[in-house]
Amino acid sequence: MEKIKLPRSSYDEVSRIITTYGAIGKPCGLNDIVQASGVHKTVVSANNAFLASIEIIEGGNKKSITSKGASLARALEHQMESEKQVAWKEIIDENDFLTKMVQAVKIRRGMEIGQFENHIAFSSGETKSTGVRTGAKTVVDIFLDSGVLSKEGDKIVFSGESSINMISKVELPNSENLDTKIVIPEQSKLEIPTIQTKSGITLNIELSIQASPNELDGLGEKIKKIIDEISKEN
Amino acid sequence: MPFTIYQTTAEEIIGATDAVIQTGTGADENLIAEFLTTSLPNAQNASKMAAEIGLIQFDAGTNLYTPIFPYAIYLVTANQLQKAAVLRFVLEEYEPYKLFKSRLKLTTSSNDAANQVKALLSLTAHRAEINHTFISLGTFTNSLTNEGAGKYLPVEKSDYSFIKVVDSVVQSRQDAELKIRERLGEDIVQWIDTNDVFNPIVTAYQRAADIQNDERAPIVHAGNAIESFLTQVGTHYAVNLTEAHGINAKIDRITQNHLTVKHKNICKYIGHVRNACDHGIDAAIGQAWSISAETGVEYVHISLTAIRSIYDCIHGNYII
Repeated sequence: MEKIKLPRSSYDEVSRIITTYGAIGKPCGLNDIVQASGVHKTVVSANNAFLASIEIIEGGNKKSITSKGASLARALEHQMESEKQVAWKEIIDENDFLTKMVQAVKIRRGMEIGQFENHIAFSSGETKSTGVRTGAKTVVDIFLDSGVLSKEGDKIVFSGESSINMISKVELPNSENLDTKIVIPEQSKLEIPTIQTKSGITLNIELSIQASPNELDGLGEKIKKIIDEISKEN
Repeated sequence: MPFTIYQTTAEEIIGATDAVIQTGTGADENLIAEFLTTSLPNAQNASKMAAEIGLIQFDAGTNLYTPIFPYAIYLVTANQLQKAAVLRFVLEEYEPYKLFKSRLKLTTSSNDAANQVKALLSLTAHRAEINHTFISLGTFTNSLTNEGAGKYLPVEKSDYSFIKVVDSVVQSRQDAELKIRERLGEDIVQWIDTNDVFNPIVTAYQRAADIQNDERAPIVHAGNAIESFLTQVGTHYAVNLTEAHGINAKIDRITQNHLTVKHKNICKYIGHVRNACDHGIDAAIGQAWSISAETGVEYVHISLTAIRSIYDCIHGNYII
Protein backbone atom coordinates (compact mmCIF):
# COMPACT_ATOMS: atom_id res chain seq x y z
CA MET A 1 0.00 0.00 0.00
CA GLU A 2 1.35 3.40 -0.95
CA LYS A 3 1.15 6.41 1.31
CA ILE A 4 -1.76 8.65 0.35
CA LYS A 5 -1.46 12.33 -0.39
CA LEU A 6 -4.74 14.12 0.19
CA PRO A 7 -6.17 16.49 -2.45
CA ARG A 8 -5.59 20.19 -1.94
CA SER A 9 -8.77 21.60 -3.48
CA SER A 10 -12.52 21.42 -3.18
CA TYR A 11 -14.38 18.52 -4.75
CA ASP A 12 -15.60 20.78 -7.60
CA GLU A 13 -12.09 21.80 -8.50
CA VAL A 14 -10.78 18.23 -8.28
CA SER A 15 -13.69 17.12 -10.53
CA ARG A 16 -12.78 19.83 -13.05
CA ILE A 17 -9.20 18.57 -13.18
CA ILE A 18 -10.41 14.98 -13.65
CA THR A 19 -12.76 15.90 -16.51
CA THR A 20 -9.97 17.87 -18.18
CA TYR A 21 -7.62 14.88 -18.05
CA GLY A 22 -10.51 12.82 -19.46
CA ALA A 23 -11.20 15.30 -22.26
CA ILE A 24 -7.55 15.46 -23.31
CA GLY A 25 -7.38 11.68 -23.19
CA LYS A 26 -3.65 11.38 -23.93
CA PRO A 27 -0.43 12.04 -22.01
CA CYS A 28 -0.19 15.74 -21.30
CA GLY A 29 1.87 18.18 -19.30
CA LEU A 30 0.76 20.45 -16.50
CA ASN A 31 0.36 23.43 -18.84
CA ASP A 32 -2.08 21.54 -21.08
CA ILE A 33 -4.33 20.87 -18.08
CA VAL A 34 -3.98 24.46 -16.86
CA GLN A 35 -4.99 25.85 -20.27
CA ALA A 36 -7.91 23.48 -20.76
CA SER A 37 -9.29 23.64 -17.22
CA GLY A 38 -8.56 27.21 -16.22
CA VAL A 39 -7.32 25.89 -12.88
CA HIS A 40 -4.08 27.43 -11.61
CA LYS A 41 -0.88 25.48 -12.24
CA THR A 42 0.03 25.09 -8.53
CA VAL A 43 -3.48 23.81 -7.80
CA VAL A 44 -3.34 21.19 -10.57
CA SER A 45 0.12 20.14 -9.46
CA ALA A 46 -0.93 19.89 -5.80
CA ASN A 47 -3.85 17.60 -6.68
CA ASN A 48 -1.98 15.36 -9.12
CA ALA A 49 -0.39 13.31 -6.31
CA PHE A 50 -3.81 12.44 -4.92
CA LEU A 51 -5.23 11.61 -8.35
CA ALA A 52 -2.23 9.39 -9.08
CA SER A 53 -2.41 7.64 -5.70
CA ILE A 54 -6.04 6.67 -6.29
CA GLU A 55 -5.16 5.68 -9.87
CA ILE A 56 -7.24 8.22 -11.75
CA ILE A 57 -4.17 9.45 -13.59
CA GLU A 58 -0.80 7.85 -14.25
CA GLY A 59 2.59 8.66 -15.72
CA GLY A 60 5.63 10.80 -15.01
CA ASN A 61 6.03 14.37 -16.24
CA LYS A 62 3.30 13.84 -18.79
CA LYS A 63 0.29 12.33 -17.13
CA SER A 64 -2.70 10.64 -18.70
CA ILE A 65 -6.05 9.43 -17.52
CA THR A 66 -6.34 5.73 -16.56
CA SER A 67 -9.23 3.61 -17.85
CA LYS A 68 -11.17 3.86 -14.59
CA GLY A 69 -10.30 7.56 -14.46
CA ALA A 70 -11.74 7.94 -17.97
CA SER A 71 -15.03 6.31 -16.89
CA LEU A 72 -15.23 8.71 -13.96
CA ALA A 73 -14.31 11.73 -16.09
CA ARG A 74 -17.01 10.86 -18.63
CA ALA A 75 -19.61 10.39 -15.90
CA LEU A 76 -18.64 13.68 -14.26
CA GLU A 77 -18.72 15.54 -17.56
CA HIS A 78 -22.11 14.17 -18.60
CA GLN A 79 -23.48 14.39 -15.06
CA MET A 80 -24.49 10.74 -15.16
CA GLU A 81 -25.29 10.02 -11.51
CA SER A 82 -25.25 6.23 -11.42
CA GLU A 83 -22.21 5.89 -13.71
CA LYS A 84 -20.39 8.42 -11.55
CA GLN A 85 -21.21 6.43 -8.41
CA VAL A 86 -20.08 3.17 -9.98
CA ALA A 87 -16.83 4.78 -11.14
CA TRP A 88 -16.09 6.29 -7.71
CA LYS A 89 -17.00 3.04 -5.94
CA GLU A 90 -14.54 1.13 -8.10
CA ILE A 91 -11.82 3.63 -7.28
CA ILE A 92 -12.64 3.53 -3.54
CA ASP A 93 -12.77 -0.25 -3.43
CA GLU A 94 -9.38 -0.57 -5.07
CA ASN A 95 -7.64 1.88 -2.79
CA ASP A 96 -6.56 0.65 0.65
CA PHE A 97 -6.60 4.06 2.29
CA LEU A 98 -10.10 4.97 1.07
CA THR A 99 -11.41 1.49 1.98
CA LYS A 100 -10.00 1.85 5.49
CA MET A 101 -11.73 5.22 5.88
CA VAL A 102 -15.06 3.62 4.92
CA GLN A 103 -14.42 0.82 7.42
CA ALA A 104 -13.72 3.39 10.12
CA VAL A 105 -17.22 4.81 9.65
CA LYS A 106 -18.79 1.39 9.34
CA ILE A 107 -17.30 -0.05 12.53
CA ARG A 108 -18.22 3.08 14.51
CA ARG A 109 -21.76 2.97 13.14
CA GLY A 110 -21.35 6.50 11.89
CA MET A 111 -19.00 9.37 12.66
CA GLU A 112 -19.50 13.09 13.13
CA ILE A 113 -18.39 14.96 10.03
CA GLY A 114 -15.70 16.84 11.95
CA GLN A 115 -14.45 13.67 13.63
CA PHE A 116 -14.33 11.90 10.27
CA GLU A 117 -12.43 14.76 8.63
CA ASN A 118 -9.91 14.67 11.50
CA HIS A 119 -9.64 10.91 11.17
CA ILE A 120 -8.89 11.19 7.43
CA ALA A 121 -6.36 13.99 7.91
CA PHE A 122 -4.65 12.17 10.79
CA SER A 123 -4.61 8.77 9.08
CA SER A 124 -3.05 10.24 5.96
CA GLY A 125 0.06 10.88 8.05
CA GLU A 126 0.40 14.35 6.52
CA THR A 127 1.40 17.30 8.66
CA LYS A 128 -1.58 19.33 9.88
CA SER A 129 -2.27 22.30 7.59
CA THR A 130 -5.14 24.15 5.97
CA GLY A 131 -4.46 22.27 2.72
CA VAL A 132 -4.70 18.91 4.47
CA ARG A 133 -7.97 19.92 6.14
CA THR A 134 -9.36 20.97 2.74
CA GLY A 135 -8.22 17.63 1.32
CA ALA A 136 -9.94 15.71 4.12
CA LYS A 137 -13.18 17.61 3.38
CA THR A 138 -12.86 16.77 -0.32
CA VAL A 139 -12.39 13.08 0.49
CA VAL A 140 -15.58 13.22 2.57
CA ASP A 141 -17.37 14.81 -0.43
CA ILE A 142 -16.06 12.03 -2.68
CA PHE A 143 -17.49 9.41 -0.31
CA LEU A 144 -20.83 11.23 -0.22
CA ASP A 145 -20.98 11.73 -3.99
CA SER A 146 -20.09 8.08 -4.56
CA GLY A 147 -23.02 7.03 -2.40
CA VAL A 148 -20.74 4.77 -0.32
CA LEU A 149 -21.37 7.03 2.67
CA SER A 150 -24.30 9.31 3.33
CA LYS A 151 -25.26 12.10 5.68
CA GLU A 152 -27.67 11.64 8.56
CA GLY A 153 -27.96 14.99 10.30
CA ASP A 154 -24.42 15.91 11.24
CA LYS A 155 -23.26 12.32 11.05
CA ILE A 156 -21.69 10.40 8.21
CA VAL A 157 -23.00 6.85 7.97
CA PHE A 158 -22.25 3.82 5.84
CA SER A 159 -24.81 3.52 3.03
CA GLY A 160 -24.47 -0.11 2.05
CA GLU A 161 -22.30 -2.58 0.23
CA SER A 162 -19.60 -1.19 -2.02
CA SER A 163 -19.49 -2.19 -5.67
CA ILE A 164 -16.67 -4.70 -5.30
CA ASN A 165 -18.56 -6.44 -2.53
CA MET A 166 -21.62 -6.54 -4.78
CA ILE A 167 -19.69 -7.90 -7.71
CA SER A 168 -17.84 -10.79 -6.18
CA LYS A 169 -18.35 -12.51 -2.91
CA VAL A 170 -15.56 -14.90 -2.02
CA GLU A 171 -16.15 -17.45 0.69
CA LEU A 172 -13.11 -19.17 2.10
CA PRO A 173 -11.32 -21.31 3.24
CA ASN A 174 -13.22 -23.60 0.88
CA SER A 175 -11.87 -21.98 -2.28
CA GLU A 176 -14.36 -23.77 -4.51
CA ASN A 177 -17.17 -21.60 -3.21
CA LEU A 178 -16.58 -18.78 -5.60
CA ASP A 179 -19.90 -17.09 -6.08
CA THR A 180 -19.68 -14.39 -8.67
CA LYS A 181 -22.51 -11.96 -9.13
CA ILE A 182 -22.33 -9.07 -11.51
CA VAL A 183 -24.62 -6.19 -10.76
CA ILE A 184 -25.29 -3.95 -13.70
CA PRO A 185 -26.11 -0.45 -12.59
CA GLU A 186 -29.26 1.17 -13.87
CA GLN A 187 -28.52 3.53 -16.76
CA SER A 188 -29.22 7.17 -16.16
CA LYS A 189 -31.52 8.93 -18.59
CA LEU A 190 -30.50 12.03 -20.49
CA GLU A 191 -33.28 14.47 -19.80
CA ILE A 192 -34.21 16.62 -22.78
CA PRO A 193 -35.95 19.89 -21.97
CA THR A 194 -39.54 20.40 -23.04
CA ILE A 195 -40.21 23.47 -25.17
CA GLN A 196 -43.46 25.33 -24.64
CA THR A 197 -44.42 27.32 -27.80
CA LYS A 198 -46.45 30.53 -27.75
CA SER A 199 -49.52 28.78 -29.15
CA GLY A 200 -49.46 26.39 -26.20
CA ILE A 201 -48.32 23.33 -28.16
CA THR A 202 -45.70 21.24 -26.41
CA LEU A 203 -42.86 19.97 -28.55
CA ASN A 204 -40.86 17.04 -27.22
CA ILE A 205 -37.60 16.82 -29.10
CA GLU A 206 -35.93 13.45 -28.93
CA LEU A 207 -32.27 13.33 -29.85
CA SER A 208 -30.84 10.06 -31.07
CA ILE A 209 -27.07 10.12 -31.00
CA GLN A 210 -24.84 7.53 -32.55
CA ALA A 211 -21.29 7.80 -31.29
CA SER A 212 -18.38 5.42 -30.99
CA PRO A 213 -16.61 5.22 -27.59
CA ASN A 214 -13.75 7.46 -28.73
CA GLU A 215 -16.26 10.18 -29.66
CA LEU A 216 -17.81 10.26 -26.19
CA ASP A 217 -15.35 12.72 -24.70
CA GLY A 218 -16.65 16.23 -25.08
CA LEU A 219 -20.01 14.96 -26.30
CA GLY A 220 -21.77 16.17 -23.17
CA GLU A 221 -20.63 19.72 -23.79
CA LYS A 222 -21.80 19.58 -27.43
CA ILE A 223 -25.25 18.24 -26.50
CA LYS A 224 -25.61 20.88 -23.80
CA LYS A 225 -24.71 23.53 -26.38
CA ILE A 226 -27.36 22.25 -28.84
CA ILE A 227 -30.00 22.15 -26.09
CA ASP A 228 -29.08 25.66 -24.92
CA GLU A 229 -29.32 26.96 -28.50
CA ILE A 230 -32.75 25.35 -29.02
CA SER A 231 -33.93 26.76 -25.69
CA LYS A 232 -32.65 30.24 -26.64
CA GLU A 233 -34.42 30.18 -30.02
CA ASN A 234 -37.61 29.62 -28.07
CA MET B 1 2.07 4.51 37.67
CA PRO B 2 2.51 7.56 35.40
CA PHE B 3 0.46 7.56 32.23
CA THR B 4 1.13 9.16 28.85
CA ILE B 5 -1.51 9.55 26.18
CA TYR B 6 -0.47 9.76 22.53
CA GLN B 7 -2.60 11.08 19.70
CA THR B 8 -3.57 8.12 17.55
CA THR B 9 -6.53 6.10 16.30
CA ALA B 10 -7.88 2.69 17.20
CA GLU B 11 -7.01 1.46 13.71
CA GLU B 12 -3.37 2.48 14.01
CA ILE B 13 -3.04 0.82 17.43
CA ILE B 14 -4.36 -2.42 15.93
CA GLY B 15 -2.05 -1.99 12.94
CA ALA B 16 1.01 -1.42 15.15
CA THR B 17 0.18 -4.53 17.17
CA ASP B 18 -0.29 -6.51 13.95
CA ALA B 19 3.13 -5.36 12.68
CA VAL B 20 4.79 -6.41 15.92
CA ILE B 21 3.17 -9.86 15.85
CA GLN B 22 3.96 -10.43 12.16
CA THR B 23 7.69 -9.86 12.47
CA GLY B 24 8.03 -12.64 14.99
CA THR B 25 11.23 -11.14 16.40
CA GLY B 26 9.95 -7.66 17.29
CA ALA B 27 9.50 -4.51 15.27
CA ASP B 28 11.05 -1.07 15.44
CA GLU B 29 9.15 2.17 14.79
CA ASN B 30 10.38 2.48 11.21
CA LEU B 31 9.06 -0.95 10.34
CA ILE B 32 5.74 -0.13 12.02
CA ALA B 33 5.53 3.12 10.01
CA GLU B 34 6.17 1.18 6.81
CA PHE B 35 3.63 -1.46 7.77
CA LEU B 36 0.99 1.18 8.52
CA THR B 37 2.04 3.27 5.50
CA THR B 38 2.01 6.30 7.71
CA SER B 39 4.48 8.90 8.93
CA LEU B 40 7.09 8.00 11.55
CA PRO B 41 5.50 10.29 14.22
CA ASN B 42 2.11 8.61 13.67
CA ALA B 43 3.70 5.15 13.94
CA GLN B 44 5.56 6.18 17.09
CA ASN B 45 2.34 7.41 18.67
CA ALA B 46 0.44 4.27 17.71
CA SER B 47 3.18 1.99 19.07
CA LYS B 48 3.52 3.93 22.31
CA MET B 49 -0.25 3.97 22.85
CA ALA B 50 -0.46 0.22 22.11
CA ALA B 51 2.24 -0.22 24.77
CA GLU B 52 0.30 2.05 27.17
CA ILE B 53 -2.79 -0.13 27.03
CA GLY B 54 -0.77 -3.32 27.35
CA LEU B 55 -0.81 -4.85 23.89
CA ILE B 56 2.90 -4.58 23.14
CA GLN B 57 6.03 -3.70 25.08
CA PHE B 58 9.16 -1.76 24.25
CA ASP B 59 12.64 -3.10 24.88
CA ALA B 60 14.99 -0.13 25.24
CA GLY B 61 17.99 -2.43 24.78
CA THR B 62 17.01 -3.60 21.30
CA ASN B 63 14.75 -0.65 20.40
CA LEU B 64 12.13 -3.20 19.42
CA TYR B 65 8.48 -3.67 20.32
CA THR B 66 7.37 -7.20 21.14
CA PRO B 67 3.82 -8.48 21.74
CA ILE B 68 2.25 -9.00 25.13
CA PHE B 69 0.34 -12.27 25.10
CA PRO B 70 -2.44 -13.25 24.93
CA TYR B 71 -4.43 -10.12 24.01
CA ALA B 72 -2.10 -9.00 21.24
CA ILE B 73 -2.67 -12.36 19.52
CA TYR B 74 -6.41 -12.26 20.19
CA LEU B 75 -6.60 -8.77 18.70
CA VAL B 76 -4.66 -9.64 15.57
CA THR B 77 -6.35 -12.95 14.84
CA ALA B 78 -9.90 -11.70 15.45
CA ASN B 79 -12.25 -10.52 12.69
CA GLN B 80 -13.16 -6.84 12.46
CA LEU B 81 -16.04 -6.91 14.94
CA GLN B 82 -14.19 -9.15 17.33
CA LYS B 83 -11.23 -6.76 17.19
CA ALA B 84 -13.51 -4.04 18.56
CA ALA B 85 -14.54 -6.30 21.43
CA VAL B 86 -10.99 -7.39 22.27
CA LEU B 87 -9.74 -3.82 22.13
CA ARG B 88 -12.60 -2.72 24.36
CA PHE B 89 -11.75 -5.44 26.84
CA VAL B 90 -8.18 -4.11 27.07
CA LEU B 91 -9.23 -0.45 26.98
CA GLU B 92 -11.76 -0.75 29.80
CA GLU B 93 -8.88 -1.84 32.05
CA TYR B 94 -6.82 1.25 31.27
CA GLU B 95 -7.08 3.71 34.16
CA PRO B 96 -7.05 7.02 32.20
CA TYR B 97 -9.77 5.76 29.88
CA LYS B 98 -11.91 4.56 32.81
CA LEU B 99 -11.54 8.01 34.34
CA PHE B 100 -12.33 9.68 31.01
CA LYS B 101 -15.54 7.66 30.74
CA SER B 102 -16.68 8.51 34.24
CA ARG B 103 -15.93 12.22 33.76
CA LEU B 104 -17.70 12.12 30.41
CA LYS B 105 -20.80 10.73 32.07
CA LEU B 106 -20.77 13.57 34.59
CA THR B 107 -19.87 16.45 32.31
CA THR B 108 -21.40 15.18 29.02
CA SER B 109 -18.57 17.03 27.27
CA SER B 110 -15.62 15.07 25.90
CA ASN B 111 -13.47 18.22 25.93
CA ASP B 112 -14.18 18.81 29.63
CA ALA B 113 -13.65 15.13 30.42
CA ALA B 114 -10.29 15.18 28.61
CA ASN B 115 -9.30 18.34 30.46
CA GLN B 116 -10.18 16.81 33.80
CA VAL B 117 -8.33 13.56 33.08
CA LYS B 118 -5.30 15.63 32.08
CA ALA B 119 -5.43 17.53 35.38
CA LEU B 120 -6.21 14.58 37.66
CA LEU B 121 -3.50 12.33 36.24
CA SER B 122 -1.01 15.13 35.52
CA LEU B 123 -0.82 14.12 31.87
CA THR B 124 1.51 16.01 29.57
CA ALA B 125 -0.55 15.48 26.42
CA HIS B 126 -2.72 18.33 25.14
CA ARG B 127 -6.41 18.08 26.00
CA ALA B 128 -7.31 17.82 22.31
CA GLU B 129 -4.93 14.86 21.85
CA ILE B 130 -6.44 13.02 24.82
CA ASN B 131 -9.91 13.74 23.50
CA HIS B 132 -9.04 12.62 19.95
CA THR B 133 -7.47 9.33 21.05
CA PHE B 134 -10.14 8.35 23.56
CA ILE B 135 -13.00 9.27 21.23
CA SER B 136 -11.42 7.25 18.44
CA LEU B 137 -10.90 4.25 20.73
CA GLY B 138 -14.24 4.61 22.49
CA THR B 139 -16.32 4.87 19.32
CA PHE B 140 -14.38 2.11 17.55
CA THR B 141 -14.99 -0.28 20.43
CA ASN B 142 -18.61 0.80 20.94
CA SER B 143 -17.76 1.81 24.48
CA LEU B 144 -18.93 5.34 23.65
CA THR B 145 -21.90 6.40 21.59
CA ASN B 146 -22.10 9.41 19.34
CA GLU B 147 -25.12 11.47 20.34
CA GLY B 148 -24.68 14.02 17.54
CA ALA B 149 -23.66 17.70 17.71
CA GLY B 150 -20.19 16.76 18.96
CA LYS B 151 -21.57 14.96 21.99
CA TYR B 152 -20.41 11.51 23.10
CA LEU B 153 -21.62 9.43 26.01
CA PRO B 154 -20.52 6.17 27.61
CA VAL B 155 -22.72 3.24 26.69
CA GLU B 156 -25.18 3.30 29.58
CA LYS B 157 -26.81 -0.11 29.38
CA SER B 158 -25.07 -2.99 31.06
CA ASP B 159 -23.91 -4.12 27.67
CA TYR B 160 -21.39 -6.83 28.36
CA SER B 161 -21.97 -8.62 25.08
CA PHE B 162 -18.43 -7.67 24.07
CA ILE B 163 -17.15 -10.03 26.78
CA LYS B 164 -18.99 -12.84 25.03
CA VAL B 165 -17.25 -11.83 21.81
CA VAL B 166 -13.88 -11.85 23.58
CA ASP B 167 -14.78 -15.26 24.95
CA SER B 168 -15.50 -16.46 21.41
CA VAL B 169 -12.10 -15.12 20.28
CA VAL B 170 -10.39 -17.02 23.10
CA GLN B 171 -12.46 -20.08 22.22
CA SER B 172 -11.54 -19.73 18.58
CA ARG B 173 -7.82 -19.61 19.50
CA GLN B 174 -8.22 -22.73 21.61
CA ASP B 175 -10.08 -24.46 18.77
CA ALA B 176 -7.29 -23.54 16.36
CA GLU B 177 -4.68 -24.88 18.78
CA LEU B 178 -6.59 -28.13 19.11
CA LYS B 179 -6.87 -28.46 15.33
CA ILE B 180 -3.12 -27.97 14.90
CA ARG B 181 -2.37 -30.41 17.73
CA GLU B 182 -4.63 -32.93 16.04
CA ARG B 183 -3.04 -32.36 12.65
CA LEU B 184 0.58 -32.56 13.83
CA GLY B 185 0.19 -35.02 16.66
CA GLU B 186 1.28 -34.56 20.25
CA ASP B 187 4.85 -35.85 19.66
CA ILE B 188 5.54 -33.14 17.12
CA VAL B 189 3.88 -30.43 19.23
CA GLN B 190 6.13 -31.42 22.13
CA TRP B 191 9.22 -31.36 19.86
CA ILE B 192 8.69 -28.01 18.17
CA ASP B 193 9.33 -24.73 19.94
CA THR B 194 6.06 -23.41 21.40
CA ASN B 195 6.76 -19.68 21.02
CA ASP B 196 8.60 -19.68 17.73
CA VAL B 197 6.93 -22.51 15.80
CA PHE B 198 3.67 -23.63 17.37
CA ASN B 199 2.19 -20.20 18.21
CA PRO B 200 2.89 -18.62 14.79
CA ILE B 201 1.51 -21.63 12.91
CA VAL B 202 -1.69 -21.44 15.02
CA THR B 203 -1.89 -17.72 14.21
CA ALA B 204 -1.37 -18.50 10.52
CA TYR B 205 -4.18 -21.03 10.66
CA GLN B 206 -6.51 -18.47 12.26
CA ARG B 207 -5.54 -15.78 9.75
CA ALA B 208 -6.28 -18.22 6.91
CA ALA B 209 -9.84 -18.46 8.20
CA ASP B 210 -10.12 -14.67 7.78
CA ILE B 211 -8.34 -14.67 4.42
CA GLN B 212 -10.63 -12.10 2.77
CA ASN B 213 -9.21 -9.40 5.04
CA ASP B 214 -5.54 -10.15 4.45
CA GLU B 215 -4.26 -12.88 2.16
CA ARG B 216 -0.61 -12.21 3.06
CA ALA B 217 -0.91 -12.65 6.84
CA PRO B 218 -1.17 -16.49 6.89
CA ILE B 219 1.96 -16.67 4.72
CA VAL B 220 3.90 -14.28 6.92
CA HIS B 221 3.05 -16.20 10.11
CA ALA B 222 3.49 -19.69 8.64
CA GLY B 223 6.76 -18.56 6.99
CA ASN B 224 8.04 -17.37 10.38
CA ALA B 225 7.06 -20.71 11.92
CA ILE B 226 8.86 -22.69 9.20
CA GLU B 227 12.03 -20.63 9.43
CA SER B 228 12.14 -21.14 13.20
CA PHE B 229 11.40 -24.83 12.69
CA LEU B 230 14.34 -25.14 10.28
CA THR B 231 16.57 -23.45 12.87
CA GLN B 232 15.49 -26.18 15.29
CA VAL B 233 16.17 -28.85 12.67
CA GLY B 234 19.60 -27.32 12.00
CA THR B 235 20.39 -27.42 15.71
CA HIS B 236 19.24 -31.05 15.87
CA TYR B 237 21.66 -32.05 13.09
CA ALA B 238 24.34 -29.66 14.40
CA VAL B 239 24.34 -27.81 11.07
CA ASN B 240 25.90 -24.37 11.21
CA LEU B 241 23.21 -21.97 9.98
CA THR B 242 25.25 -18.80 10.48
CA GLU B 243 24.60 -16.37 7.62
CA ALA B 244 21.85 -18.67 6.30
CA HIS B 245 19.06 -16.12 6.31
CA GLY B 246 15.63 -17.17 5.23
CA ILE B 247 13.94 -20.48 4.52
CA ASN B 248 15.70 -21.19 1.21
CA ALA B 249 19.21 -20.64 2.58
CA LYS B 250 18.49 -22.71 5.68
CA ILE B 251 17.05 -25.70 3.81
CA ASP B 252 19.96 -25.58 1.31
CA ARG B 253 22.42 -25.78 4.18
CA ILE B 254 20.52 -28.57 6.01
CA THR B 255 19.95 -30.74 2.93
CA GLN B 256 23.64 -30.77 2.06
CA ASN B 257 23.89 -33.81 4.34
CA HIS B 258 20.43 -34.39 5.82
CA LEU B 259 16.77 -34.90 4.89
CA THR B 260 15.87 -35.53 1.20
CA VAL B 261 15.49 -33.63 -2.08
CA LYS B 262 11.74 -33.84 -1.65
CA HIS B 263 11.93 -32.08 1.72
CA LYS B 264 14.21 -29.53 0.16
CA ASN B 265 11.75 -28.80 -2.64
CA ILE B 266 8.73 -28.60 -0.35
CA CYS B 267 10.64 -26.01 1.68
CA LYS B 268 11.70 -24.23 -1.52
CA TYR B 269 8.01 -23.76 -2.36
CA ILE B 270 7.44 -22.36 1.13
CA GLY B 271 10.51 -20.12 0.86
CA HIS B 272 9.74 -18.77 -2.61
CA VAL B 273 6.08 -18.03 -1.88
CA ARG B 274 7.14 -16.27 1.32
CA ASN B 275 9.63 -14.18 -0.67
CA ALA B 276 6.94 -13.31 -3.21
CA CYS B 277 4.68 -12.24 -0.37
CA ASP B 278 7.24 -10.39 1.67
CA HIS B 279 9.90 -8.87 -0.57
CA GLY B 280 8.06 -6.12 -2.44
CA ILE B 281 9.11 -5.54 -6.05
CA ASP B 282 10.66 -8.63 -7.67
CA ALA B 283 13.45 -7.56 -10.05
CA ALA B 284 12.59 -10.50 -12.33
CA ILE B 285 9.13 -9.15 -13.14
CA GLY B 286 9.57 -5.48 -12.23
CA GLN B 287 6.63 -5.46 -9.84
CA ALA B 288 5.37 -6.96 -6.58
CA TRP B 289 3.54 -10.28 -6.62
CA SER B 290 -0.16 -10.38 -5.83
CA ILE B 291 -1.10 -13.18 -3.46
CA SER B 292 -4.27 -15.13 -4.13
CA ALA B 293 -6.58 -16.09 -1.29
CA GLU B 294 -6.22 -19.76 -2.28
CA THR B 295 -2.44 -19.59 -1.89
CA GLY B 296 -2.84 -17.94 1.52
CA VAL B 297 -4.94 -20.90 2.69
CA GLU B 298 -2.90 -23.64 0.99
CA TYR B 299 0.36 -22.26 2.32
CA VAL B 300 -0.59 -22.98 5.91
CA HIS B 301 -1.55 -26.56 5.08
CA ILE B 302 1.65 -27.15 3.13
CA SER B 303 3.68 -25.68 6.01
CA LEU B 304 2.01 -28.12 8.41
CA THR B 305 2.79 -30.98 6.02
CA ALA B 306 6.42 -29.86 5.81
CA ILE B 307 6.79 -29.76 9.60
CA ARG B 308 5.25 -33.17 9.95
CA SER B 309 7.20 -34.76 7.10
CA ILE B 310 10.57 -33.37 8.24
CA TYR B 311 9.90 -34.48 11.81
CA ASP B 312 9.02 -37.95 10.50
CA CYS B 313 12.18 -38.06 8.40
CA ILE B 314 14.29 -37.13 11.43
CA HIS B 315 12.69 -40.10 13.18
CA GLY B 316 13.26 -42.51 10.30
CA ASN B 317 9.83 -42.35 8.68
CA TYR B 318 9.24 -41.18 5.11
CA ILE B 319 5.74 -39.76 4.84
CA ILE B 320 4.59 -36.85 2.72
